[in-house]
Amino acid sequence: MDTPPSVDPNGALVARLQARIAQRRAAGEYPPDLEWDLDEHFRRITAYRALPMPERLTEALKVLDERARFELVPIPVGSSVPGASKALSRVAAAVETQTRDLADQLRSFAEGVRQALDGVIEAMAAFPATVLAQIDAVQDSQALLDVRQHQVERALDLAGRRHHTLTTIVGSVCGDAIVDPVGHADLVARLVGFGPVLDLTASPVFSAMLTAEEIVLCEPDGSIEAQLGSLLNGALGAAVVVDAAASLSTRELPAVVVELARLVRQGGPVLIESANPASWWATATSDRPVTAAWPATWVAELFEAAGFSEVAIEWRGLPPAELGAEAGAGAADGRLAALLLAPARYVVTARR
Amino acid sequence: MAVDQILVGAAPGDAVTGIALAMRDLLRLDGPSEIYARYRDPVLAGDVHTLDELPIGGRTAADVLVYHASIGEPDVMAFLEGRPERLIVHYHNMTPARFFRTFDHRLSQLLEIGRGELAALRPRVCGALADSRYNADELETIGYRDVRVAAPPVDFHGLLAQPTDPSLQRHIELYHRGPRVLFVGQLLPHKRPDVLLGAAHILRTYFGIPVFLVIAGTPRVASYAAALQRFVLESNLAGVWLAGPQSASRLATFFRHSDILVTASEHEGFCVPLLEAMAFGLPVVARAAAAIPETMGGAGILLPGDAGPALFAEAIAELLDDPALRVELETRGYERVLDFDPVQTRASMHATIRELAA
Repeated sequence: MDTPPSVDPNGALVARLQARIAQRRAAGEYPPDLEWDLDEHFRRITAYRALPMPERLTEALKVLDERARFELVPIPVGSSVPGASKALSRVAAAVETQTRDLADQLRSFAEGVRQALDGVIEAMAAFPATVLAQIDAVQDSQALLDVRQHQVERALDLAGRRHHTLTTIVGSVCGDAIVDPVGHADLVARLVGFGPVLDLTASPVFSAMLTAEEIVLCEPDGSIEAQLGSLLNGALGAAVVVDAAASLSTRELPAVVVELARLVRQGGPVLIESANPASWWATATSDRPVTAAWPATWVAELFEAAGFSEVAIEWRGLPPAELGAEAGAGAADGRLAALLLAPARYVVTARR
Repeated sequence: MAVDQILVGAAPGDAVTGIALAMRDLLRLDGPSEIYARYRDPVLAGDVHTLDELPIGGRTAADVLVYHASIGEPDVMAFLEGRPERLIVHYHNMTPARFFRTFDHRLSQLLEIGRGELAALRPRVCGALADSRYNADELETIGYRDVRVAAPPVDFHGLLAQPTDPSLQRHIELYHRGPRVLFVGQLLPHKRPDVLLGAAHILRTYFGIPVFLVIAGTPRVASYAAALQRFVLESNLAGVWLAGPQSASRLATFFRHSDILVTASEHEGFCVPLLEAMAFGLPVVARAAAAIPETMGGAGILLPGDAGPALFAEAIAELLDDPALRVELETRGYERVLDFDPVQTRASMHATIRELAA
């Protein structure tokens, strides 16, 4: 007889079930917040609490009413002793007067208690319609807040995933070694908060990421000089040129830099990112021709000449380590090694 | 020497009352033994006395009271403090009060009070025993020493011998034609039947498995039971039956006509239904919470303590789809049940009480 396969219900099986859930989620077989929605639904139901009805209290009051009559029982005054009946009658009359007075006080007190308890019942009956409604309103607001918080978390998560997707697309189009997604996010962060941003790149990536800013785009096919010329002095808070500088002619780029000096407000940042023409690695990995027209130092000089301050060069896109090691070990010529090891890209940063 | 047992409440079908009745019969072999309760269902008047019926006269420190602790009750506490007998605490666990704050403020207060009472009683106590190692650990964290563990007697034989309820059987066979999943236990917030409702929803809606979920148990907290009913209605959950309290015969019928027993309980001092299901050959799925792993003893699918409806749904689907796994768990279940043979557990508990009382 075959032996049943041995299972490990508390280890491998649970891990497999959890992996299956992850697969279903990834495949979109579950709505994204299925479990959270179920839990939240039940939590909201339980937030509405039932209050005990005051019937039991009313029953208790009936018993109280029964016991609160305080009726006087006649005091027996009959006696076989001569003259005793008369004396007893007088005593009884005196006691009755006192007792009646006490009974009246008790009855009055009991009526007061009854009225107070009626008020309690009335308040209890009104409680669900007033206080409970307010409690429920507060709980609803709380639940809504929880929902919004969850939505914000989802939005952040979605933004993160969108950013990843966009940078992946850019990477696949431009080559991962050339366009560094992290560098883009870093550039975007430097442009936020100064006002309208001129994006000479006309990059959808920047448009997507610069969500908080007004974007001024230049038509790539039109004359850049003419388009910039139509803008008013100080119309821009910042400007960015990614990967477009290499396409500009030796006449166009200096003209653009001069125009940026006119258009960008005092203190606004300007960034130009470009392939490094001095890098063999950039040439080898780019899917477009890398012109040798604009070495980083030249661009920096253009900014300084146009009156920008804080001009600096940042090098990006180092070749893979193994290439560097190979070049360092095998290249007899130092210039060749320098070419091989030069960073693929640069960013010239300046402030108006 | 008289050994009497003290309960806060005594009711038919209540697990602690059942343990006390079983113990009384054994303790009577040694000497006089009665059960006294603060609250008593009139049905039990022949078996259980009220507290004021326990005489003080003639009682000394040679006698023993076994106090079954499962909830707080100031009247019982005051009663115990005034007694001359030695005191043994039998701890059945107290559910953390936080589970009840939304639904039953009074009950949550009593549970809170109960834990304080346990700590206050400690100097008076000459011995302590608990249903599980988990319960014993709880007692030891509040200063009790040398807490003995004695599993409660579970009367599998009696339940297995129950006749099938023909009406219920016919109903199930007519209307529950898909796979049948069973939960057994009181409808209390810490048992989390709402998670099982979510799992049923996932199984039916996303897996296309026409599962039937029966939730069999007494709705002890009305507001919580109402919330569950509303959840079923608002979610338009088909194939869910909140079946309410069950007689032994109906319970046996449910066990016989189910495919899986499942519980998402977050707190159990022992969890008798797991063993009952194993005795009927049902595979069990539960969360690794409180004493459940200890009782289950590796004989079922133990999900993480935070398992949600999706994981429960996957586990149920896996069991329904894998006959070899079901057979394996069925075998393990039968083996596990043998560890809790009712004759032996009764004898063991009796011996422990005798030892503590000596």
